[in-house]
Amino acid sequence: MKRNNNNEIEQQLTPKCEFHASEDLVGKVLNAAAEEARPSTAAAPAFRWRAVFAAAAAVAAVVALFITVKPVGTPAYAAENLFARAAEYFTMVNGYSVHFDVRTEPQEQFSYSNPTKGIVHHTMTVASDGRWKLDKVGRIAEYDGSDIYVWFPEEGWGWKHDSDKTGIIFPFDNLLDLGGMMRWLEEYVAGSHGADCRKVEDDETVKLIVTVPAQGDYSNSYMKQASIGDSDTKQTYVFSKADGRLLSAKIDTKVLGVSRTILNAKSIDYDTAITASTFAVPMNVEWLDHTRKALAGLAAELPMGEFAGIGAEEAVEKLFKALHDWDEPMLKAVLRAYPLKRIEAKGFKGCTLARRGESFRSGSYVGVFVPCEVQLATGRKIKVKLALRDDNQWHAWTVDGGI
Amino acid sequence: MRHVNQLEHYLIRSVCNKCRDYQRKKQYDLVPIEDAARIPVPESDRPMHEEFLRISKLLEDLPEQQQEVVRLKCTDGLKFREIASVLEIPEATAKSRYRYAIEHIQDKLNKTSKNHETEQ
Repeated sequence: MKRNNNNEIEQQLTPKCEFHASEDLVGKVLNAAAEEARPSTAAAPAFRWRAVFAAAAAVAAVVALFITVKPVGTPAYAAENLFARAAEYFTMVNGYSVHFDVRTEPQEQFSYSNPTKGIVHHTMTVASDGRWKLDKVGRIAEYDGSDIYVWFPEEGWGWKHDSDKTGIIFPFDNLLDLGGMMRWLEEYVAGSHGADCRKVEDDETVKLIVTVPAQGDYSNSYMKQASIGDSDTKQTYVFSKADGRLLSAKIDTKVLGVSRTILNAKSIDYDTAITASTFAVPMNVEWLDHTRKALAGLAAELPMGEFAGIGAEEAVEKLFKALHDWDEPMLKAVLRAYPLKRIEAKGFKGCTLARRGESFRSGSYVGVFVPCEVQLATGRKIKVKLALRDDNQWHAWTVDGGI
Repeated sequence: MRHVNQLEHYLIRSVCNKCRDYQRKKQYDLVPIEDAARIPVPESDRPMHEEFLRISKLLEDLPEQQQEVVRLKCTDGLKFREIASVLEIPEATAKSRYRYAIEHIQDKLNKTSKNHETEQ
């Protein structure tokens, strides 16, 4: 009898619904977590674009607007007409602008996204003559018809690249040729069958929902959810039934079991009015010339060989010795992605390496990460995770982010 | 992390400890449980909130240690062995705390029931 009573009490104490973190709570926790986020690569932009560029060159890697790997499956129905019509629509368009929000940092590389971050508005403008501009306020990229420029307006510096380096804005380089992307999707859908892609229709629109797993090796999870490609995502593309236009796109990922939108392209302006000033390259910016020609010249001047044929850990130790001694040729060789005055302004001049961890790889990043504790000249200690890579013609390590 | 045998227990324990540390460091405007019902909650969270209030009401007179055991057993569905591991107490202690809690709630409900009968 008593046991029965106990059972009744236990039943009363057992929740009748599932207890889980509410979206509101998850939002608050994530926002708080963002304040204590891992050492960000925000201060060291574009640490990944070169690998991404190489990957993007393999057309098979580009599946949809922001998809960087093939989805596990594709619709088992004929959605190809949908994409064919969307592609056809683009042959009649004289330029367009895509407005979209991403959870990221204003200055970070374009590929960086993080569900714990706030929303940063982006605008991609593409002219019919091939010029384009991608603006997220803290970082702007532009092709002026001759070269590609990427700059940080608030800091007054940036890079100049060759015109074919569109991978620097990955994954948004897919937005440069929406018609081509639609044609590719058409072929892809026509040739594949599966269950992780579905279509929902109403009177005016067709919605394509694709489930895409994170790419890369996450045996070290540092890079998991550090970009759209590094996240398990549900991607939704909405097309107009009337003329096949792509109307909007949305990408969701799950954090603590709660869905969170990391990218939302709410609108696309077709035949957008583009003025000459849209693509004006700013004059008051210090440009680091990273064109092939300029880099070839650098190799003749700088001791690249000092950072070739050694491990990443040794390269890091050489870097910090050079920072301590402020050895400019050595620093320009290993920190060629940065103006040295910026490194100095951040307090790294005269610093010492207090502790160094082992290098590790994570996600799809082509290089390695090396955790370090640094004692600045002021005595303050900070922790950084340096991103280094050596996939260049000299096979010399260069710092790609984290400083 | 090699020393961690039961990851789930380890995480629960870590979160508990972290919350306590956080609470020690910061001053909060605490709300009595009877006022919790007046806190605005999103519509989607209302069923969960009401369940929380109902269960909290049943547990309100119990010592914190007994409440914790009951929550781990009935809400999280842990076994006594697992509760003992999470709370770092002997399994027998976990069982006895639970038994006292259940008996206390039983008495409370009986009294409430008798009061209702008397009033009627």
